[in-house]
Amino acid sequence: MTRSTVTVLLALFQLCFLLPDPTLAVTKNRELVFSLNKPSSLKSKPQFESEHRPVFKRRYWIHGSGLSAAVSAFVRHPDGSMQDLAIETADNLPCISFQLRHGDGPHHGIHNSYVIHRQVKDGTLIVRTAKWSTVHHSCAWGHDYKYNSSRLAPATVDKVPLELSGIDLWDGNFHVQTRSGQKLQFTVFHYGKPLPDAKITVISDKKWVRQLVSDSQGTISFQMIRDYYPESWDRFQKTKNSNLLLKAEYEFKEEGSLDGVPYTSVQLVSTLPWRYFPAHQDFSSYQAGLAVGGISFLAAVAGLFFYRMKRRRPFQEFAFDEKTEAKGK
Amino acid sequence: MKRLKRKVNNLDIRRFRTAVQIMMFVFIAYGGYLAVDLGNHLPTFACAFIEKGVGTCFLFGLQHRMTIPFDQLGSFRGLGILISVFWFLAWFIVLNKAWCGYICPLGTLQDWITALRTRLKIRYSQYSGPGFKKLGKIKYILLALIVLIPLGISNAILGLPKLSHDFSTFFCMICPARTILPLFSGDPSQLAVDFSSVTRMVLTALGMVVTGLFVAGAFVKKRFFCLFCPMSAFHYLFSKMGLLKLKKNGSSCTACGNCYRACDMGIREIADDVTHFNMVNEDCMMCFKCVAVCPEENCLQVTLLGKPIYTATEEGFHLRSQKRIMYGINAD
Repeated sequence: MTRSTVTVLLALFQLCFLLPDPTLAVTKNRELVFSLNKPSSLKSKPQFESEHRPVFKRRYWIHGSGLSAAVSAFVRHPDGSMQDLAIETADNLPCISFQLRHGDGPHHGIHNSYVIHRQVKDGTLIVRTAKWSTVHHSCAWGHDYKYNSSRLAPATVDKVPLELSGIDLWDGNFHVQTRSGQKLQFTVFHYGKPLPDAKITVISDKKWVRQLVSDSQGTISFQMIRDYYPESWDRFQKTKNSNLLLKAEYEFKEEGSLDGVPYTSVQLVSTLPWRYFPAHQDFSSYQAGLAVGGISFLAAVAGLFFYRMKRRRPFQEFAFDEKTEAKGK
Repeated sequence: MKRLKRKVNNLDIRRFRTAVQIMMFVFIAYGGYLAVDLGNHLPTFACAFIEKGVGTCFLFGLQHRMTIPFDQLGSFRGLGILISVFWFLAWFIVLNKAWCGYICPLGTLQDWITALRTRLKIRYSQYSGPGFKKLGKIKYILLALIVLIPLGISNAILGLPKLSHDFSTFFCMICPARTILPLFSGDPSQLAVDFSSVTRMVLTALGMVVTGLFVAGAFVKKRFFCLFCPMSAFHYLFSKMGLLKLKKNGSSCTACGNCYRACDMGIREIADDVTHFNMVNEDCMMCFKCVAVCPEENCLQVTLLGKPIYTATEEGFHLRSQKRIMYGINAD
């Protein structure tokens, strides 16, 4: 069976079962997740926006069932300002969208979008939060904010019931630095305060799953696995964007009511999609670099040495004999 | 005022220059720690790959900006290229090519390698006259490629297929500043060969070849790399607009050749040319060693906005001779 036949069969299979996204396929439908792709579409667009070519109109699709009226959506801009958003419907699918400004100004930096949905089911208040962190940046606008740590610090919002926030996800130049093999750190926040004992599940594209519990500071850390093994070296892409979904869960007893419906316990669920790239070590070699540089240096030195040797004239003593000279004349 | 002028003219410019070079090297390599950011249009090799550098070399940004489709050249994006050239000029115009002689960290590094060679008492090399002229054209070829290759990424030039994005900063990939300067901030990552694609592999390997040649070449030839430097070629396009100038009064010149022998770049015209007034040649780095070794009164002059600020004087020449500061005429 040829490669193209397999690809066609795989595509037909996916079309039949409408798998929207490999990452989403392994998650239960209980949570809400943001994505650049429509819930019903196959993975046709890049999973994250480019960090070099800013997109001025942002639209994120909401994956997850049972969105009722009790939904709030908003975005926190890099300057700390908040913008309330409406849940829109495009092609009968829920999404949010907002406009960003051009240039090095208040919108230059990291934007966090949120959708929060509350619902009482079987006496439990289920609060589902979807978060999307993205950077609005163009290198042409400069990197003046690189020394302003508040622009790159993990932003949290006090009114979000459960939130995941990454630490040092971007470097000083606003580029994602998450790579395989790297130790990643995230903090779980409950209304803006670090939350210990929350359950966090990390799910990769390739269905690698890791479960962790937040420590007393609300922090989890784990080493990102390497799961990108292309068939051959010539197919290797160093900018290969692999996806990661982080899901935080926390439950506690609390009595109350939502729109007149009573509940006795609260279940918080929050998601944050993220991505990671191959490690530098996967595609670069110091040994090769130093060998090439060393050989080039030695060849140049040897070339110069032999060039100088070749141009060196042997010492020749010249004796002037006046008598011989005179006879010759 | 006269006393100050006399003091300046008697100055040991070599020491002054060394002090400025050290300060500027430290500033460029570590200025970021002081949260100084001079932007992306510096007319010198303030390499973008230095993590806490003070700014970025203009050529790095130029390559990015030139990755533009032809139909957008007339748009705001195209205007951005002109604006960046304007900012380059704003930096460049005062110091002119003295950016090379006093500020360029790669030039400073070459001067340090030369100092080491002098201490080791190893003989230096010079290009022959025709060889100098032929090799000097390489910098213009590189400058043309810096513009054409990024254009070839976004456009099919002459019906050829578009180039890979891996070529986007092709000159940086082969520039020794990328491999060497980050080492001063403890970052050896640029010494590696990148195997992620054939283009990247070839370019990064070529970068290491150039690095090897740079170290070996700078050891035997003063300012070895400067003859091939596309930044120097770009400077020369605008050098007539520079406020700082090197002028020569041909009628005072006795063609003694001191200036040529002191010149690290080996520019023969500085001694031979008695007809032109402006001595800022395409290869000149405006180090002003030629002024310091000139024994003729007012023959060579450094001017700023037309006013002389450093002039060749007999007194200055004799003072420096007595102190055996002869700028490498006999020593190396």
